[in-house]
Amino acid sequence: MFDINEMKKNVSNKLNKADKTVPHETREEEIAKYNSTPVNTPNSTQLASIGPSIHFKGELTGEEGLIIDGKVEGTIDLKGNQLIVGNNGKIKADVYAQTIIVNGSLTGELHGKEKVHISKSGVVNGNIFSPRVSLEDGAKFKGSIDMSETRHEQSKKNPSGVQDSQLKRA
Amino acid sequence: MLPKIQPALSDYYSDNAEPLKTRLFNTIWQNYQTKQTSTNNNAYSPKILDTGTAQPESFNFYSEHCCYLTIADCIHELIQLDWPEEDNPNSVILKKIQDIFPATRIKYDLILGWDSFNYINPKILPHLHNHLLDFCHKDTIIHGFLLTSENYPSKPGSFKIISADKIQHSVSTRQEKQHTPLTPIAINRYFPGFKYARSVLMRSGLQEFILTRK
Repeated sequence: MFDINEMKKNVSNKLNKADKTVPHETREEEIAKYNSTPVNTPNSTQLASIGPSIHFKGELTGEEGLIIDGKVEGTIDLKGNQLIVGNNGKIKADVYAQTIIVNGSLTGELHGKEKVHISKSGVVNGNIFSPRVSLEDGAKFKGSIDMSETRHEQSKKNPSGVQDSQLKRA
Repeated sequence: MLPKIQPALSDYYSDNAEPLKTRLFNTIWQNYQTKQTSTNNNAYSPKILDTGTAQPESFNFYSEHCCYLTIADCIHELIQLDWPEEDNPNSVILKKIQDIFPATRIKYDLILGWDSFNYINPKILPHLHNHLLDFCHKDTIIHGFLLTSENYPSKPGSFKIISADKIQHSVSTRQEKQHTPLTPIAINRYFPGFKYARSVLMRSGLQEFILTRK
């Protein structure tokens, strides 16, 4: 005989069990987990890659994460995905991504919706627009960073717009 | 004649572990925070021009204060500039300064010179001043450190902002060099668009100072 109350009880038990096996991470835990991930050793299986011998000129767009170890000149737009510039990567481009991690060299504007991280081997020459910017000891950076929230809103509305206030790059 | 009292060179190194207590820098940031709270939070964001190298600790500090930051990283190149022997040296040196320190349309609220003015060729300082005026508005402040001793480290130190009232000063070299200390009078002469407003003597013969626009 079908007992609706018994079934509800079973489902409820299963859900409780599932909650225990896959605990929900708080925002703080997620950030801590992300920050503890070594940025120099990305999980390359989840990212498309451009190898050291590749030299690309033009507009590079995509909807998945990308690791670049070659040379790229132009524009890189990965929308809500991650860009990692590998140790050998040399980029001369304006970059739009969710998270930008620089281990190599990058000249241009960096628009990181969530975060821009420059590691100890990273060299960045340009302007950064991101709510979170972090720098490791030894990283080299020359340029401007807009950390004010109102300006970030403007940057989001007009991501490709050239700001009057930018430092002219040599 | 009384002997000159000078800090031993070793003071520059022995004090490295302890951050400098920067009262003037603290006052500047307190003023910015007052402006931020009185002008509807984020409507005001101070514009900072840091002439030194990018330091992780300083980044953390700046990001807490919601500012517009430019890292010019130009001190090393500026101190290497020699007075040109060519004809028309003024325009040559101005061109070199412009190459090192490109122009911008931004007018900064605060320019951080750290200890660079002690190391830049005094002949070049007036030209640097003229170039810096392009980055200034009527309330721009220049903050820096004077080295009052005649012998101090041969290279500029690094400065990491721990908090507004604590800056970590590190010296990367143990080589010393004879310098003519830069005095407030000399600063006023080299920077005629500014006046030597306040200074605080610190340990090791370092003197924190600020210049305000005339």
